[in-house]
Parts: sequence; structure tokens; C-alpha cells
Amino acid sequence: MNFDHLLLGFSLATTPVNLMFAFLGVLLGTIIGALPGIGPSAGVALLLPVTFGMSPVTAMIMLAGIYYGAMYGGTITSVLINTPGESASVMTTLDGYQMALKGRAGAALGMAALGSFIAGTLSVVLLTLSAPPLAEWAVTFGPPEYFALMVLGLTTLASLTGGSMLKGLAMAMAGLLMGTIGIDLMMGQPRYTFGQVELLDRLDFLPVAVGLFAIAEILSNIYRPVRVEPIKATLSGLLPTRQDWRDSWGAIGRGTLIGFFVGVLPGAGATISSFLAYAAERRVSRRPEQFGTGVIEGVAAPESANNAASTGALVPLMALGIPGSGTTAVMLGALTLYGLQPGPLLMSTHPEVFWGMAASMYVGNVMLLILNLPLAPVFASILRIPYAVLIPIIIGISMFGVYSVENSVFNVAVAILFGGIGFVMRMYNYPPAPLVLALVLGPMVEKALRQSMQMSLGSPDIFVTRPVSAGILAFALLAVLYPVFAALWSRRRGRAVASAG
Amino acid sequence: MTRADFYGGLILSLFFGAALWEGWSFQYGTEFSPGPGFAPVWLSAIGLCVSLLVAVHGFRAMRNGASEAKAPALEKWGALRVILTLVGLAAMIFVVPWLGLALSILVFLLYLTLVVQRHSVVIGVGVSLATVVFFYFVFVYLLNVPIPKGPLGF
Repeated sequence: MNFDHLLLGFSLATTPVNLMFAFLGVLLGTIIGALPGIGPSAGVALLLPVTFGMSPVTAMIMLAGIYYGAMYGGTITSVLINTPGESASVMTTLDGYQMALKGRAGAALGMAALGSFIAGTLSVVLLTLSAPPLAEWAVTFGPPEYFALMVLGLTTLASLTGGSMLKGLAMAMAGLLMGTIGIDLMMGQPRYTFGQVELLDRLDFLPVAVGLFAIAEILSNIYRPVRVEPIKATLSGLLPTRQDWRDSWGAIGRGTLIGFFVGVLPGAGATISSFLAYAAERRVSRRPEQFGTGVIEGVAAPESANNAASTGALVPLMALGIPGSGTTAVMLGALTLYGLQPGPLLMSTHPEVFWGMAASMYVGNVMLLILNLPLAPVFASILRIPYAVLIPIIIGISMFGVYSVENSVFNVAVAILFGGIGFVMRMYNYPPAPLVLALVLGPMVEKALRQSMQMSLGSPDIFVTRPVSAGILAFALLAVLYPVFAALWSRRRGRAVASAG
Repeated sequence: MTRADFYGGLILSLFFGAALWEGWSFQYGTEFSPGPGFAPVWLSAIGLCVSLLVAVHGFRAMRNGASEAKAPALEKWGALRVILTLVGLAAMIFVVPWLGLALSILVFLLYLTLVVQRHSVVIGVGVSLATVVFFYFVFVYLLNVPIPKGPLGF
């Protein structure tokens, strides 16, 4: 690791302006995480337009703060109302809410904050150690390797978003197709513009992301209003006891490692890592039968894992320019809006962006610990604000924000259209993240494909004759085929058990 | 997979089919490289296959009478609230040239809070006005975003 770069990062992260925006980011992230329904993807998309006047370093510091801050905030609702603030906190509800019912809400929130802090800090160390060498290696990649990497990101996201893989793939295809809208950059031919001047310059990703993530969420809440009734829990005793620590140390360590490495994988992310960490903890525990009844390691493991995963997800984003989740897709789009070219060269051409953001995450995790321990009751009181009052506020920022991207009312109309589409998608379990990721990656995938084919004079063999691209494409194929074979295997086993019975 | 997946798969197939039809009108390739039509044709063709598979799975679930084949029932009043909100949002876009952006958003928020959500006048007017004033200040004064102005000068 180049310590000069890390020092540069700290010199940037500790300027008063950047400290202020890091604080604002983690504070808003915690609030966004605490509000049921509004996840980090919607939060980052909604607040992205507010960062337009900032330098890219400050903007990325604030957006990253919202991302990992939301992981802390999600715990509050999981523990106090048995409803995860965002999907990565689903596993925390199992033991966190049970602890709250037993009068140990304070200990659950305290351990979640401390576990998140330890995991968050350790995973930033892993980020600063792993991203630069990965970027250095990736500089040698050509268009075929990039094409293969992006295909891997899309297939894993489509197959791991939960629910039907076919629906995930269909959404990824729709996103890639929408990425072709506009003038073809190589031949100058307009595609799918239907005479609309606004579409000549491509379909902006931000109105689509705001529509699918934020407006669709609002419509879901208008359709079926959320009734939040936090339990009257005592929040005293936020600092865990010595026994709590003894029970949780291993869980935090294992959760951190599982979270970080799962987070690095494209498509896996915080939600899956928290599931895996909880399952692993239950397997190694001396009291697996008590999981789900309010054991503290059942809170420590998933909370450590989801924080570590959100940092891990920044490795492929910053080192390769490949986002692995809906939120990092929005952050990638943000980089392009600031005029930066995401990819391995970003670290050498604009080292301040990566190192400033990484250094700010050390500081931001300390801020979050301070915010979440003494101020946990304050965040808990946010849950008492009726959601119906928040709806107009979120619509207000969506409309102003989407308009300000290109000063275009057309973009506002696009956001509303995709809000309606996103609502229907939610109702019938079509995941929005693959569509947004594919829309962001679409133009890059097509460019890499066409450059590769030009290199090989039109032969697709180039993707399988180069070892790195062939290896990555094999992984992508595995990601698509694994769920199919797993389903066939379990059906076969079921039949065997039935016939034996 | 549900009955809704059968219809959802068919609707997606129509979308990808139309995209494929349009995609054929673009130049497919040049001598040594794919042209502007290459990606649209392949993506729509793959999308068409995947969405047909979604429809087939839904159809099989329906035919087998699987319990999960039933589509989730729509709540009438919830659906009406969503439709009213979307109609209001669409109307907001149409009145921007006359009322300006800020006033259009304010009118929509008043409609949303008072008509759709049925808040009290105090809460509805208070939240709508505070939201528009706050974001107008942030975007127009702090971020210098030029927004379409209405008859009242903002």
C-alpha cells in the first residue's frame, strides 16, 4: 500500500468541508436506513443531485457516508419494530426484536453499533489494501476482459437478487436494451428515439433510478400505508456487558470476513452476506437452538457482515469500475456525472477520489459510533414521524432533484413513468436493481463488445481464447446455471426421499 | 411463479418483440465489427426468450393449479390511491409550462396530501408548503439551478 496516497486521503478527508459532508452523509444515511422502505439505493439516488455543486471527492465522501450509514440505521427499525429499515437488516430482526421484547433493546442496538464500527473499520483496512493492487492488475485488461467482467456482474446480480432468476435476467436485458437508446457513438445512427430530441443523448440513469427506487417505494406506501409502532423499549445499558462481548467477539470477526468477501463479489452484497453470516454463526454456536430467541451474537454477526459488505462492494466499483449492486450502480453513475471515467485508471488519474473517500470512511465510522451510541434514542424517535408526512417530502426532493440533473422537465416525466413501472414491478416481484445496473453498464458493455470484435476482425473467439476473459465468462455461466442445477438437484433429492418414505 | 407471471411474461415478450422489430431497422454490422443494430437485436432476442420462459412457467403453474398460481389480489382502495397519485403527477408535468416548476409541485403536493392522503388542512398545507420552500431554497438559491418560472415569478 502506498502510504503517501493514504496520507493524501487523510489530508483531504479531514478538511472542515469534507468532515462536514462526511458527517451529513452518515447522519442522512442513518435516518434513511432507519426509515422502513427507503433503502440506500433510493437514498443515494435522491441525494445525488444535491452533490452537483461539490468537488467529486466531497460528493463521493457524502454518498459513501449515506451508503454505510444506512447499514447502521437499518438496525434501529429491526430491533424496535421488527421491520428491517433496509433488506440487509432482515436477519437482525430475528434476535434483535426478541432482545427488545426481553428489555434488552439497548444492548442489541449498542452491540450492533459496536459490531458495525469494528467491521466497518476492519473492512476499510481491507479496502485500502486490496483495491489498489486489483486496479493495478486490471490496467492490463483489454476490452474482452472488461466485457466478460460486466457480463459477470450482470449475471450474478440477476441470479442473486432473490426470487425468480428469470425475472432478474429479464430486467437485466431490459436495462441493457434501454442503455442502447440514443445516438450510436460509433456510427451516429439514432436508436429507439422515436423522434424525441431528449432521447438522442441517451436515457439518463438518475431519473430511472429515482423512479424505480424512490417513487415506486412511495407508491407502494400510498397503496398500503406503513403503520410503524415502535415497542416501548428501554434504551438504557447501550454498552454491552463483559458476557455480551465474550459471546460476540467471534461473531463480529467472522461476520466481518464473510461480509467483506461476499461484498466484493459482484451482485452478492450486504443482504446475502448478512444471511450467510447469521447461518455461519448458528452453525458454529454452542447454542444453535437459542438462535431466534434473542441471542446477542445473532445481532452482532449480520450487523458486522452488512457493514463489511457495503465497504467490500466499493472494491470492484473503485478498482474495476464495475458496480455490484443497485447502490454502487448509482454511485458509478455519479462518477460519470462528475466527468470522471470509472475503471482501474481512476486510481492513477484521480487518486484523490479513491483515497479521499477511503480515508473518510475511517473517520465516518467513528462518527457513526458516536452518533449511534448516545443518540440511538433520538433516531428511534424518528420512527414516530408518520410515514404519510414523509411522502410529500420525498416526492418534493425527487422532483426538484431529477429536474436539476439536466434542467429538464422531460427527466421528471421519465422518473414518474418509471415510478409507475417500478410499482408494478414490486407488486409482481421483478427486481429493480438488475435493470438500473444494466442501464448504467449497458453503454460500456456494448462499447467493450464492439471494440473486442473489431480487434478480432469480427470473430467472437476472442472472448474464449484469452484466458482471463474465458475464466470470467465461465464464472458468469456458472452464476446462471448454478440455480438451475441446484433446483434440479433438490427436486431429485425430494423425489428420492419421497420414494424411500 | 403466479398467474400474473403468465401475463407479465407476455407483456415483456411484447416489449422485447417490438424492440426486436425496431432493432432490425438499424445497421446490423460493418465488414469487421458489429454495427448499431447488433446489440439491440441480440438483447431483444435474448430478452424475448427469457420473458417467454417467464410466461411458460406462469402458464404451467396455472395449469397445475398450484396454490401459488393465484395472483396477489389488488386492494381496490390502495390501487385507486396509486392511480390518483400517478394521474396527479402526470397532470403536474403538463402544467409546468404555465405554473412553473415550484408552483406545479406545490399544487401537486396539496392535491396529494389533501385529496389522496386525506390529511387535515393544517398538516397538508404545512407539509406541502414547507417542502417546496425548503427544496426551492436548496436547489434554486444554494445550487443555482434555473427552474421554469410561473406567473408569480418563481
